[in-house]
Amino acid sequence: MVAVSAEIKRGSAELAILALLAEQPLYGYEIAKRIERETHGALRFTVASLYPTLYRLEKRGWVKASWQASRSGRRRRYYRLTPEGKKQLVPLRAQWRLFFRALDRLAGVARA
Amino acid sequence: MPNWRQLARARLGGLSLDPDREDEIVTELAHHLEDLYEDWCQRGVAAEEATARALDAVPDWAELRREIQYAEQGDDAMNQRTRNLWLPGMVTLAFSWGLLRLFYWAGLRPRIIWMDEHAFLWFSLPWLLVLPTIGALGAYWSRRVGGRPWERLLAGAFPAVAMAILLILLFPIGLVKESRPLVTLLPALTAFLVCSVLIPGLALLLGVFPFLRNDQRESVAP
Repeated sequence: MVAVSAEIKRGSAELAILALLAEQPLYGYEIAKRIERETHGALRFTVASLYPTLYRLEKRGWVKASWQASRSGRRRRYYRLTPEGKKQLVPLRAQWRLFFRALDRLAGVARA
Repeated sequence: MPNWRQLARARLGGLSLDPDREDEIVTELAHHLEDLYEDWCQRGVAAEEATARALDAVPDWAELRREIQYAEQGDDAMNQRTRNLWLPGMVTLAFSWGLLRLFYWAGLRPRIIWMDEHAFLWFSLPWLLVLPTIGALGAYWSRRVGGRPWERLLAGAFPAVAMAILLILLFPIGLVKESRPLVTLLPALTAFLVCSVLIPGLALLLGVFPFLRNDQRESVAP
């Protein structure tokens, strides 16, 4: 099995989270569930991969978190995209699009 | 239902962060585990099994702690290496050589046994006796700031590693300067290797070993 480098994993995780948060604020567990559901299980976030990524994004100022009551009435830490995060998402999407196109041209990844 | 906060805190304990921030992280992780647990329970899984499955979400708490620490400190890999290895390693080295010097000044001079014109064995018993503590200090420091086992090992044994590097660098120079056949310098080389690298290295490792394991708080039962 081919190992995906840590940088690719990290970069794709950041893109996935930012793209989801661009739609609406979510808390950690919701983010993990949504990513799993929307990728039909192809991408799975564990606690160990999700939270360090969220904290990194928060540290960079791309997301902001605040405690709010969830639909169940419990307090959860909701993450929302900041204006800086929105700005970063545009080139990040473009880079990944370019990356997949390049891979497709090279190895026919899309048809593999 | 397990006390998820207590459980997360016990396993994650030891983050070098502001207590409020640490508390926030523990609470958030505990909520995640609780949500996972309830999800499994709703699917008809027994409570005990649901607890185990929720905990499976974090296969390695030590790794999670390290990742959180790095994320919170906003560090790049170079800074992490400096914090986990170079800084504790240099302090271990300074302590070790500083104490040897101190013992010398205090009259506790190393015992020297000449083997021939060039080769001699030396040892300082008080110094060797404190080396395990110095090794432990380096390894503990590295573990405290999130060092991996190999970083803790190197940080604790740093004085011996530094001497080995010094030997590798200086021996060829000495060989040229003395302009003598290698075989005649072998006893001196062996004596230096044993007295300055191997024996101090073993003494340092005695103190390092207990800190190669992860913090016991990570293996608290649910």
